[in-house]
Amino acid sequence: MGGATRDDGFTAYVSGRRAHLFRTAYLLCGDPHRAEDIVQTALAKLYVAWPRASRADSVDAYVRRVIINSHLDETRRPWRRESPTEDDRLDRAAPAGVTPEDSDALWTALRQLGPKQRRVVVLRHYWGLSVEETAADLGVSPGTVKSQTSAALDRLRSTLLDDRVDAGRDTIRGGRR
Amino acid sequence: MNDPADRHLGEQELEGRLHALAHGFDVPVVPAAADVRRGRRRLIRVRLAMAGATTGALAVVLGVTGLTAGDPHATEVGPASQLPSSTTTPPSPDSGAAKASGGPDAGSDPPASSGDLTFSGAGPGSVHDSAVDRSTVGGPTGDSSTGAVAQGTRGGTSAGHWPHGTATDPTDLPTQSSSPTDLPTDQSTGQPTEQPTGPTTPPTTPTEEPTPPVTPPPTTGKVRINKVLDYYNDVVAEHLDSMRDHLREFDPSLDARTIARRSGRLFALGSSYRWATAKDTDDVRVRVASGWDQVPWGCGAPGSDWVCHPTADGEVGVHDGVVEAAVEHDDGQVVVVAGTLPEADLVTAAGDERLILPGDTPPVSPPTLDPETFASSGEAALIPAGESFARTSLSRAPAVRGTWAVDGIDRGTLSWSAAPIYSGGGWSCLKGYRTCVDLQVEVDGETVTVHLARLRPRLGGGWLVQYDGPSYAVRVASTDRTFPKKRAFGFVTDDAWQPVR
Repeated sequence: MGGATRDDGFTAYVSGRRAHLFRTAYLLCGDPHRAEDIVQTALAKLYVAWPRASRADSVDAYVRRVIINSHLDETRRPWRRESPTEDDRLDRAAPAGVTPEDSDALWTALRQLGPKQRRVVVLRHYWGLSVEETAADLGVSPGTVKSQTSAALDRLRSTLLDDRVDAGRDTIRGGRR
Repeated sequence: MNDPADRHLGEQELEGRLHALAHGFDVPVVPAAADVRRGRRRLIRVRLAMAGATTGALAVVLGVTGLTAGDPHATEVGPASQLPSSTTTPPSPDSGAAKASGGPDAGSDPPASSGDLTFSGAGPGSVHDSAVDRSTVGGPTGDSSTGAVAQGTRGGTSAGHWPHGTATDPTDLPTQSSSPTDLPTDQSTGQPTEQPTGPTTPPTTPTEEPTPPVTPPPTTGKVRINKVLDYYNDVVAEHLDSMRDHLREFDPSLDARTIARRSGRLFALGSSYRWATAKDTDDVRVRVASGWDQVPWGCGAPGSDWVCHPTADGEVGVHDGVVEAAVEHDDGQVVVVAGTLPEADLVTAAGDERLILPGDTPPVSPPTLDPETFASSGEAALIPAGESFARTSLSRAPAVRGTWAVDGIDRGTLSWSAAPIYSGGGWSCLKGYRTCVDLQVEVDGETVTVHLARLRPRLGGGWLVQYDGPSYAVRVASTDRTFPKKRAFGFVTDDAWQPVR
């Protein structure tokens, strides 16, 4: 595969999918800067492997696995256990499109999940993958995916339910949830 | 939640909210060409690595083949006794620059006297300079009273930092070094290339306790992050592991750094340091921040599972088996030291005054506001008789949230909060605001500018009032737009929320 062909195909893919990949990484790690790092790493690896990846059934699947593995590497570093919130506080970025209450609750609930459960939730409920596809991406058995999905959803529901009860009266009145 | 239908609906709702949340992220605009460029660089690196590995493997194969086949030149190599031996090379003074990383001689050296470990005239910028640099800035003056930079508490572990050439000429040593235990014992082969300057002031007696050093990081010029983090490591080691049995030296390639910058100014700096035990390697985390707003501190945060209690000097939080100690220093900077170590040691380390942010003018946070006072004052100012407020959350930011009700009927969410101005808490008209206007309102006879935004429904609707004071940006938000804004004007502009350090 020539360099020009590689560049053209890669550029077209990146232009179309970069935002989605960033959001995935952001959901996984909870930090925009680390998310950008993960995406950059994943795309650099994709470029190297583009001849092989582009012949595969799904380039998305390849990049998804790279992102998952990059996130896995990150979480294995002891220091990464710290939740890096300083830049958020500095930038004071307010996510648009979601009510602050919703984003706070869901964001809090997501961040309370362990890395493995968060990966399962993102793959299954953000990417919409099946149990088998998720298991293939994560390199675990479908049974593990099922159990982790169940545990993660229970925990998410519990957290969101608590939050809903906590602020129940105003949300019922406003009808925003 | 055991009902399958209920579960199905719950998952659908979760997917919808996940997508909504993800689409609310501010995605950075990165041109595809940048990714192509990075990819090309990685491709080149991969190919170079492969070529290097291939070449290396080939060289090894050829070398082994040559050896096993018999090299005609092999018999011409002289006897081993004639070969140069690196072990006999006199150690250069640079060897002292090696960090005392628990090497074989680091702990066996006798503890150096305070005079041996004192260097003067270097100023703050000399933190962790090389041994050569240290020898030129004063050497062992033996004068702890100069006080500019003192490292007297390092003990024997720091012996390797200093020029050992002084041992070859005992007459040049400060007088207090006449004690045999103060003399370096491992320098017999070293030839000093530079003679240390003699003491310029009368030496202190060896029996004196070294003055606790307070060595600030560089206050002028470019901040060298790694040197500062290295310095933090040394300071923390004095409290947690003075013998360096567990705490490893800072290594930028192994220890992660956390840096919070805004507009070129450093707001927080920290790192993890490896803490090695017989079984595992854990980490000790240090974070020096300009204020509490720059510290991810779970105590007092809504929904936090931290178990917290105050101490004489600060506060301690325990979560997931990790103990985090935070101490606010006099200048408002907050130091957090965390690890699976005794609480008292962590608190002491966090309280060390040498742990400060480097730089010419580090940002100064305003004094913290008492959350309970902020909450009760808000209720008094915003909720008159006949109305009620049910508080649902109170954080130490401070931020208060609750439900406003009139005659027992809920009218919506009412919240008020304060954010420090110095770290970017000032007014900004966000995309989620429908309109933004600046109002000139008169409060207690003075006209001040107050920002008013009407929020889009996706942000909850209603309005938001914010006043940017000298210390804090104070805001009140109501999802019910009928809530009287005049109540908020008086509250947000209250001088009580603008303390100055």
